[in-house]
Amino acid sequence: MLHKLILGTTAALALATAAQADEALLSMNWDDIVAQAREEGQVTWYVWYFEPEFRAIVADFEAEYGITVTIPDVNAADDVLNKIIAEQGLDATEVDLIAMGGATALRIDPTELFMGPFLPVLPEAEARRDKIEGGDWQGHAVQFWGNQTGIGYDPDRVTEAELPQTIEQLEAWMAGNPGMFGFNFENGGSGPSLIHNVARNILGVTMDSTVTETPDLQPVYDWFIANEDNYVITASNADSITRMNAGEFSMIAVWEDHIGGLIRRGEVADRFKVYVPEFGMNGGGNVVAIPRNAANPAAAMVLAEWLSSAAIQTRFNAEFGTAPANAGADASFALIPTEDRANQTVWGAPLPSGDVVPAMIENVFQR
Amino acid sequence: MMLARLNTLLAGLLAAVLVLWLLVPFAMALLWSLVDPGTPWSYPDVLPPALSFQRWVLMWETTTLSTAMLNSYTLAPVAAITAILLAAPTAYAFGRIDFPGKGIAQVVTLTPLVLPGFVTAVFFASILVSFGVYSRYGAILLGHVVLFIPYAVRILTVSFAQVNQEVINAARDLGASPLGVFRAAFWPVLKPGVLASFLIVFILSIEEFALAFIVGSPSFTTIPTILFSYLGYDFIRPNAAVVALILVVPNVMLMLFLERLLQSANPANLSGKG
Repeated sequence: MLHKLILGTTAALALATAAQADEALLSMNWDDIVAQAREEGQVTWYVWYFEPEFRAIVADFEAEYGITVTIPDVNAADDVLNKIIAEQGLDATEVDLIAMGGATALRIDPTELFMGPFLPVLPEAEARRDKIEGGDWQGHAVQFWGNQTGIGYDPDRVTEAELPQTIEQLEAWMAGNPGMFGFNFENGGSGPSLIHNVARNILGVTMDSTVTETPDLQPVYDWFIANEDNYVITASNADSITRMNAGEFSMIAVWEDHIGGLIRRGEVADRFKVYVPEFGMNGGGNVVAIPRNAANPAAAMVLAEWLSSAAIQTRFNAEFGTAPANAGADASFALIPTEDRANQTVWGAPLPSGDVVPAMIENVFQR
Repeated sequence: MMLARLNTLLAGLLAAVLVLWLLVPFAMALLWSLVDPGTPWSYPDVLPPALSFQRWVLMWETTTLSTAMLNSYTLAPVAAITAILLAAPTAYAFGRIDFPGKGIAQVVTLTPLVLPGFVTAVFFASILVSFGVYSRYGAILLGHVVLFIPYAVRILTVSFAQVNQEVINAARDLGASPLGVFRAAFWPVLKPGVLASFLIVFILSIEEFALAFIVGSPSFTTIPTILFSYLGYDFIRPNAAVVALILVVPNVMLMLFLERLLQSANPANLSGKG
């Protein structure tokens, strides 16, 4: 929490030495931007997950445009954000393109750190998105990845009929299978999504409610404390999946794209499935943005366009099971059944997860 | 007799604990590192369905692990030696001289340890940029020296304080030069402290992530940059096992080497007897 506060404060207060070149770039037509991108010849894209897979995928971009793409190994998007903030005083940072969670826009001012608005400049801009997870990037970023949290399960150990759909059913299942349900509260959003939606259901907040003030969370605390012997807190998204793969859990909170990617890489059992219960799990996505002092802004913009194009979004859906971030893309290959997507909820509303999850951590998991 | 049996029992117990504590995790890490890519080791399989060294080859060839190891193992010893050389005068003053404000000064030297790593790294990187320090190696070296000097100061302070004044006086009385006095009176006592300082700063430099990432990425990668990425979101146990095993071997060898050097401390130098 302190780290996020410092990050947000630093970002807000940092001196913005905006490169003048980006204003000229944004006024160019797309063909000229592509020509400048080819002249730049290279782009460094920081993304915190699936780096090996993305390196293989962008080989097609490199072949198409003749622009070399470098994808460094990264631990977390916030690390890269810190690097961008630290290098604001440079004429050119080595971060040309950064991937971030859609909700990051709630913690920083996108117009301060990132070039734009560039979304309207992209071809078929109306098919792309810049509002994700309650965050509005105001055209300074474009969504390139759609993801959905859900409950992953081992169908060899949990039948479809047993899958909990309501909070009461979840409670009953955990009581009947103590220690077999795992979720995280840090190092990933899958567990926080579960916490957020359990809280929302316990408090009786529906998706069409209007919440002006976060209600008393004591009933939520009581629920989690009453059931704490039946669930297991994991260290991260990845830890939950690793431990289900090892047989410790039968069900976990999970990101569809995360487990889908691991299944396709042959790193976990391919029998695992994911569903979105009726009590809801949050969906959202990730965006890419261009720092204001990026060394290769045109190449970054062309890569952002390519990543968010209908063709590549269809490919991501097929290879990772993502929810496409382009209206023209095909969504047939997702892990989650289509009918379950109606249960998707969002992070920011009507009950802001930022009000719920930190309070839960303080009053329940770390009390 | 009873005592001998008890000793044997305790030794056996200790061996069993060591096996469980050290050997089993290493063996599991080794087994995981040999899991064949594309053939997952999942419940309910007791053993991996397929083993191969393919993952080791893949990790060595597709990551910048070799470059990161070279960078880290050239940066860390230089950072350690530089920190020791810069810390020595301060440690001498703290260990052997009484002066007003000494306590406050000792606390002030601990300031770099107070702030969280990433906060320090962000602002330190900004300062380096404003000073025009663009060399990645130099910037990270400077940062590591500043961050880890407090450890060297604290350790060497204790070492300097233990130098026996009588030995110093005796060396001078016998006509030793300043260098001779240092070699006869100071160095035997300082040696374990210097080695301990070197070891601690070396290890801290090897494992420091925040500054190395913010200043060094993407062109100057270090071991933590690689390790954190494989232990983070993209954690895949077999890959993480390969990276961890590759990294643990040189560190263990270094520890054993330095442990031998540390054992050369002569208690007589402290007591003045013998």
